[in-house]
Amino acid sequence: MTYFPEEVVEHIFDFLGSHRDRNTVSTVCKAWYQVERLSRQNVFVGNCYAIRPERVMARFPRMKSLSVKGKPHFADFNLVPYDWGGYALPWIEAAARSCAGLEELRLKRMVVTDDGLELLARSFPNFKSLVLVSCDGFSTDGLAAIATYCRGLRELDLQENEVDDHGRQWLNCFPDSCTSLISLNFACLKGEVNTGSLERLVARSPNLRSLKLNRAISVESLNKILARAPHLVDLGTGSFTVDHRAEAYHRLMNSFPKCKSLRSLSGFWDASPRCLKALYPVCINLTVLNLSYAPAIPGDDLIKLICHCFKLQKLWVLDCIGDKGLAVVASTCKELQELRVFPSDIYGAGNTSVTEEGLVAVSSGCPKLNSVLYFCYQMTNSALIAVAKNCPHFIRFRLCILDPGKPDPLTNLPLDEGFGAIVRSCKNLRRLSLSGLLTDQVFLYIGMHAKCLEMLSIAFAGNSDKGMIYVLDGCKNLRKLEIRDCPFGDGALLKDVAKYETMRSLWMSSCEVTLGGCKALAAKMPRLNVEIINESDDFEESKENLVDVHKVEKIYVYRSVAGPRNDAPEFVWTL
Amino acid sequence: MMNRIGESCLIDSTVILARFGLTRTKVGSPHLNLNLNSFLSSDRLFLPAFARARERSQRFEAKAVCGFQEEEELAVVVVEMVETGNSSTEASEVSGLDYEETQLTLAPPGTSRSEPERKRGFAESKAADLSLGSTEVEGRAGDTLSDSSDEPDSAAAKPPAAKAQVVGWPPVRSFRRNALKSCNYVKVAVDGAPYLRKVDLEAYTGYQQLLTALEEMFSCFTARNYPNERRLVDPVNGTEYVPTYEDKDGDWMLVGDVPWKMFVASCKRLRLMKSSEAVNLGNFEDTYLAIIKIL
Repeated sequence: MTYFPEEVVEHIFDFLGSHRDRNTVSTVCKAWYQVERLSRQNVFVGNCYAIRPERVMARFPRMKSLSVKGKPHFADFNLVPYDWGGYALPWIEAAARSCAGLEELRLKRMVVTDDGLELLARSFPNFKSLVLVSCDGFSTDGLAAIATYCRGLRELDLQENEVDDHGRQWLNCFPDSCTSLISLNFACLKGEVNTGSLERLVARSPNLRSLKLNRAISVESLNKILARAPHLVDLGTGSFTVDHRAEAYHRLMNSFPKCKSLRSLSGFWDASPRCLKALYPVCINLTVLNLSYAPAIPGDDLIKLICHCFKLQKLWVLDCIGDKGLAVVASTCKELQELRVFPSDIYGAGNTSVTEEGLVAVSSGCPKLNSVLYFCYQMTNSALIAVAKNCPHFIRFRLCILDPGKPDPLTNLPLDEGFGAIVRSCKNLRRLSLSGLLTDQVFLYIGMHAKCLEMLSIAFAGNSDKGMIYVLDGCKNLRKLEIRDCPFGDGALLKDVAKYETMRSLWMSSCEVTLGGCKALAAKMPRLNVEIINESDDFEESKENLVDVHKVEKIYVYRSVAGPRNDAPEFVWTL
Repeated sequence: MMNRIGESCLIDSTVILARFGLTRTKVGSPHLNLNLNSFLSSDRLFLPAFARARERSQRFEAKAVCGFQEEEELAVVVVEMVETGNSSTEASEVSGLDYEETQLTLAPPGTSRSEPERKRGFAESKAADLSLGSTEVEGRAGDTLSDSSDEPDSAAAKPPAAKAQVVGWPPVRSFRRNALKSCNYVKVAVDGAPYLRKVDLEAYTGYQQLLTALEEMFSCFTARNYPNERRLVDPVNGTEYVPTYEDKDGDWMLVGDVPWKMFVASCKRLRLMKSSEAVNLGNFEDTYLAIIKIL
């Protein structure tokens, strides 16, 4: 192929969709490396500390879309201290210096500052899309800068960020000339927005297809918005509560039938059961329904709504739906591919939670089901075996029994055989989260069968080092391993240290790993960053005096070509 | 088949302290886990809730979580009982694991958790939380009643349960946690005022905070503090206002008639009613006194 002109090679490379394929071709020869790097438009960095931003920009100067991930996944559950790191600014600065053609930036679990957003807004003349997921550190002032300066903005998607609210003015900053919006999601904002500005913005955005409103948006405003944008495909409803005697309620009833393009609904923050009736006319078209932020809807009303949703492919719901409701899902939603059931009462008695019955029902009624996140009160081996038999196509299987370490209530046995059945049956499983009482046996099964597994989350499981060793030995495709509160120690950590270079990261917290073990790992593998997170005060004082047998509270290990990071806070030590 | 019962009651904390040989200085934590199995019916601390459970079943294991008031004069005792078949050791294991049962602590004494929430009349509610066996408590309980209705709430949030103290479990994103627990806006109207305001009931932890917020919100009022009373007063004409609310059944009730958490769950809107008009909400003299005590 060396006699092909570069243009031809480049054209062929255009057909390579995945990052992994492009990475592979770039290792073939120097010529291909050059062609690939100069033509790559989409760059994905799974760990912001694995490489320096300048290096990425230098290699891919024609990049148009950049995705960067920051903190470890367990940050979602408050296991990573607040100021741990994951700063977006260095990435934005580097891009501003050398990739002026950037059009799209997607950041996940990163600290994004208002300065960063302002720099972003002013640096890239063709900027079109900003997607922030689970980020924090910024305010509505930063959003105002984006609105003001990104003249051709098509997408502003804020998913589950913690945004400081500095008032409702930011939405006014979209200039009158801004008519390019396709997607606007500000559902995570807590404060009110200027509804007049919002209505005008919607009215002048003929291409708007996705609009996710926040809780502060009333039904009155929603009615006006729907009147101006009946072509919406994806809608986040806002508060969705109104007195049924009010005029707005009747207008709401008349609004939805006109929205014939609607395929996806979310929001419903304060939805009252009566308001849900407005949705019935569009239910038949829905493929995505997210009711997981609507704690005020009783199970029976969820059921009445879902009865109309024959075409659902993706359903997120709270466990108020009950096993009975999941049986209705099973008999109604024959196209269902993804189901997430979240706990409605995280701190409470859990008396609304679902059990193994609901999951078995859905697995037998929904043959296309391939992704599950299921928070339940209890689970049995026989149920998991049935689920594995019914749904061999699982890609993601995440089960959380609310009570950690709970055995099969029928037999009082660990759930090893149940999860064993899942990994044996689901050959394409890429993501797995375990819970309940589990011994090393389950890890033997996982190592033996889960050949495609990329991410594994373990909590309160296993008996000995063997458990972790089975996984490291067996799961050849493993990229991310996160473990908490398991009896895995240095023996497991140091068994196959080279393995961690094939993975993106390893997280262990409240395990049996010692400082000595971590030091040994760091010494053997210079291209791994071995970070220890210590928040306790006595640790701070005795940093020098610590002995190697001291147990390490949290360890985060990742491969990096950048060396130890220089923005680590005091409580993070890189060994 | 296990049958678990969680009940709460108020009791003089000195009784508890004495029974367990504790002094106040030793009570470092505001919550104690008590094992009640050794209790006898002759025991001074034989709790009413405990007795009722015993009527239902002869065999049970019992544990209690005890939350002390700030002044430590009153203690909120939450009793959990597990009726057992034959094996008492098994039962105690179960009750140990399932401590969250004890978090349903807001039912007034005499109401088991399995019974539906029952609306109480004013005359009843006035003394409901005090209706303990130990009469010595009643005298001063009125002063701390507002605290007592809040206390089980915080006891439930903190809790005895080891698993509830596990950081990051269940693995629910903090954003989702925050979103689900926050925000419960209700409208507030004032008799004679041409405007409405909104308050987020979830932003407050008890009646006292809510009333303070209402005072600030309608700054035309001043709070008139009598030795044991608190009311909202319009200084211009001296009119007094009583906070009332519409509950989920559409009935207008006096704020303070039920424990705080129950109020938050059922309150649809608030109205500061002229006290002269609040008479028809019931036996006004009695109820108003009850309110004042709670406030």
